[in-house]
Amino acid sequence: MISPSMSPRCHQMILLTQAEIDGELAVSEAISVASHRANCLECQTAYQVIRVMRTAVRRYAVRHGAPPALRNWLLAMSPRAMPTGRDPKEAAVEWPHSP
Amino acid sequence: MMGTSDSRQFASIVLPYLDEAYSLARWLMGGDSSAEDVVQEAMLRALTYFRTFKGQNPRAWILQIVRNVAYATLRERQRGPVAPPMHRNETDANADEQSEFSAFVDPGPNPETLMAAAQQRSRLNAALAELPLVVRECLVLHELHDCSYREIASITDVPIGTVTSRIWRGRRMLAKLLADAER
Repeated sequence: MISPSMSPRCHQMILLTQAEIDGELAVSEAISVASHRANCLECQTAYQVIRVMRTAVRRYAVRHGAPPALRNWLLAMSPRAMPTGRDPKEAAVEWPHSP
Repeated sequence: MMGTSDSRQFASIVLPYLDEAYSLARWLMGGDSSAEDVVQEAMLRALTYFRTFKGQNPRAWILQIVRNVAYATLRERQRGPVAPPMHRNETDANADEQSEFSAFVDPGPNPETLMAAAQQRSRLNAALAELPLVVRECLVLHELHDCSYREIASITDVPIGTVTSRIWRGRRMLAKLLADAER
């Protein structure tokens, strides 16, 4: 159980734990966070909540795709932008997709 | 008026992120048609202000415009300060906080586990939709769009500390909603 009145220290550690799981924490900080967690039941519980919820949302939350009509509308809005018969390498800059 | 080169560049920047733009709009607005309206308006704005785009992070730029249009639409709808369509408020997360929730199982080929996965998917999406808007947007941007804390802070125009707090609150609230749904 995670207490609503957790100590400020634990609250801070939980946010750092989350940053660690999300890959947003420096290794040097991760060591002190892990050290605190090893002796704190509340932070251990929070660690599990974060990991499970992160996995659950990434696995099960719906990623909506744009309807074809919207895509067609956008293409129609900028007709000159459509790569028609041009060398695709010349036509567009490659932007990275999100993973 | 945009030239051919600008126009071509605009499409090359926007099109790869159209699905993400629409998905964010759906999660912020709820309904299909309002999400489409938001994305259309956002694209028109993006086209209008394309010359001011510096070209550093097109995805964040587009998502920020979609987010701003979604908020403006919600604000207009409610004719007042943004009081997002929330079923829960943030203080609910602090009350009666429980971390009891069933582990999400890996669905195998077994029909029972597939059924369980479908139920989990349905419950998870319903719970996510119940989160307060400011919490939900941070969680959606992070988990579904893989935005970093810094990108989310830029898109939502709040400090990184606020982003991390909202993501944590979102996860906690989700855990509680899912635990409640199990009972």
